[in-house]
Amino acid sequence: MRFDDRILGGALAIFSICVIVASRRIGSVPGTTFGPDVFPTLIGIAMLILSVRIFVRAARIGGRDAWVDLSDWKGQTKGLVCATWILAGIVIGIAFFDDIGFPLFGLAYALPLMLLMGARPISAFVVTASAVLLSYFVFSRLLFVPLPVGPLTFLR
Amino acid sequence: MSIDTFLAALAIVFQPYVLLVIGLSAIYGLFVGAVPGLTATMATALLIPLTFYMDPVPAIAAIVTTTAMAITAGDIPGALLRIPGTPASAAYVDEAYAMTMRGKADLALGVCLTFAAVGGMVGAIVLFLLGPLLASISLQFSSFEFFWLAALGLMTSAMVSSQDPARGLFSLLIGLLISTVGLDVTSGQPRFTFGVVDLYGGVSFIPTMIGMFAFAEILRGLSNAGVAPPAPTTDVRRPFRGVWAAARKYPFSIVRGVSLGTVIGALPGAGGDLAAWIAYGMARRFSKTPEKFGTGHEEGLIEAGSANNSGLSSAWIPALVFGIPGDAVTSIAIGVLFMKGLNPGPRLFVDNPTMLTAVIITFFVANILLIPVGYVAIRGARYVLSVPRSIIVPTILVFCVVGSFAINNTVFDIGVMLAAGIVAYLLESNRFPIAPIILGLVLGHVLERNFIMSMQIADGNLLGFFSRPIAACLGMLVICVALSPLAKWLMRRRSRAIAPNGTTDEAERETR
Repeated sequence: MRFDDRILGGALAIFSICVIVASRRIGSVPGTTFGPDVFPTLIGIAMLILSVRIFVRAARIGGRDAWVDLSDWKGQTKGLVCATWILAGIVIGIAFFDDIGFPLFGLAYALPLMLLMGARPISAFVVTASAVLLSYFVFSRLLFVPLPVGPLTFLR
Repeated sequence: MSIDTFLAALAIVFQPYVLLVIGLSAIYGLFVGAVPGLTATMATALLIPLTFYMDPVPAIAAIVTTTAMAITAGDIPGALLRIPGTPASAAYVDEAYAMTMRGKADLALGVCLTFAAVGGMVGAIVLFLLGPLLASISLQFSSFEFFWLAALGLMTSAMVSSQDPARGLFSLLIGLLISTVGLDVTSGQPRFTFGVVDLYGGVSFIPTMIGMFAFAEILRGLSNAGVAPPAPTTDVRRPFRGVWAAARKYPFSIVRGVSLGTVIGALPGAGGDLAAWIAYGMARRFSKTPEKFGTGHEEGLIEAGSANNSGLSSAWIPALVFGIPGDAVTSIAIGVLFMKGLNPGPRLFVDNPTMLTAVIITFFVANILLIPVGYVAIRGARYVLSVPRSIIVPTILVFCVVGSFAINNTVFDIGVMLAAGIVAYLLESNRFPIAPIILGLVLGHVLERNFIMSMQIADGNLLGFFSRPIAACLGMLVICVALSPLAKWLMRRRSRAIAPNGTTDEAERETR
């Protein structure tokens, strides 16, 4: 997904102004000349200069035909569905990670994706289950990471 | 360095546990490097959650081995399918593929593997010899020198990582901005936390990196911008046949490649990828038969392949000596060392020489291991390249999730990984490089601390930054790097003014 440089430069300039404003609001320490706001403010100013440069150069030369170029995804219906699943699956996973636990989340997340991408059902199940269980045991048992198990309490 | 230190370091490295880590990392690195679309940096990023639980030496050994193997294995799909496995292989992918087309796939892969190992060994020797020397010099450095060194690394990385310096610099500033999130160390003031308690400790480095290098790459792979490799048809049986003859025929190429790679790799912010590109160009420039380049000629492969891995090893010189990473991988490694309480820099050479020597020894072990493990990988290349993406991508995603969670045991970090992945995907689609963001994120604290300290010492007078001889030299160097796009623009303008009927707008549009 590509944006025309004029849109990009404009959006980044607005973002940079927000950074400067937010930086100025950081409280300074009494008696110090160079407080915690100095460095972020300088970053914001530099960002603003570069965004204006991107915008001005694009405006001077003339941009692309389309403001937003979606050619990367054109004709990629399967890829788009997979990408949507990848993003939505993680958002859902974040919301219910503690409740459903990592093993079930991993299986419910990776198995449909493998099938969507064209893997055979049996090999998809075997690979997903192996990957999820392997990573669960490595992190949980060997590295002592408290991964939630959800309803699969027998794994503890 | 005393012999006792060296022997103690050897004892650390040659423990069964460390050797097992190196062996497993080698296999992992070879697999990831050989699969098109999976990069060495992605391999390292996915490895970090595991290294988090290791001692410093095996952790760094795992990173070093994985990177060396992945970069070398990246030549396999490059030679057989014309798809570079890693960005470093892209410099000579056409040449290697042309050799395959001429029935010389064995020689192409053999040359890449052998001279990668040679380059890596030489880079490691330079690191071994120069590291302590440079460290003893840099012990005299003040905040001014460290500020300029950090600035030099960041500036170089931003300039070389993109054709458009403005985009490279913007990426760098994003990284620096992310590094400021959290409680300010000196004043305790929260910055950009927006009341979110999870952000008080700053944005977690590892989930950010996993998101930017692994997650974003997966999203890109699903679009038309991704690669869909065909199954390889060539079988490689004897990769080392003809390599010795090639080495005897082009000894200067080896020396030039290794020297160039070591020098470029040692520059803060430059790294091995750039070394490979420049070495290939140099090989053509100095060749007696430049017309053979691009038609399947091994000379360029020898020079670029050896530059590649020597740059990879020497990139650790600024990383370990000054704490300034040479590329994305060393910036990840520096992050790991910081997390383990070992702050890279000259003091490390004084305070913990045994550990540091052990780290350097792992470079030798990794590069020696490159030959036998690489041989097996080349022989089994057809099988590795045949693993479908439908199996690899979801498996990597599971590791991304569990790896992001494992660092702080919080779901918030999975969200950080997701956000970083989306941002990196959008930025990369719009030609903003990702490596400077990571460098900025890692070096942000170093840069800010030394900047504020220097400002206080100089009482706000910017000329104070040039008050010491080395600081002044470094400062001038940074200014030169910063002004290099302006110089290039002026030269281009001048050459256009000389050329009659120059189509200015068209040319400028092309450079965009």
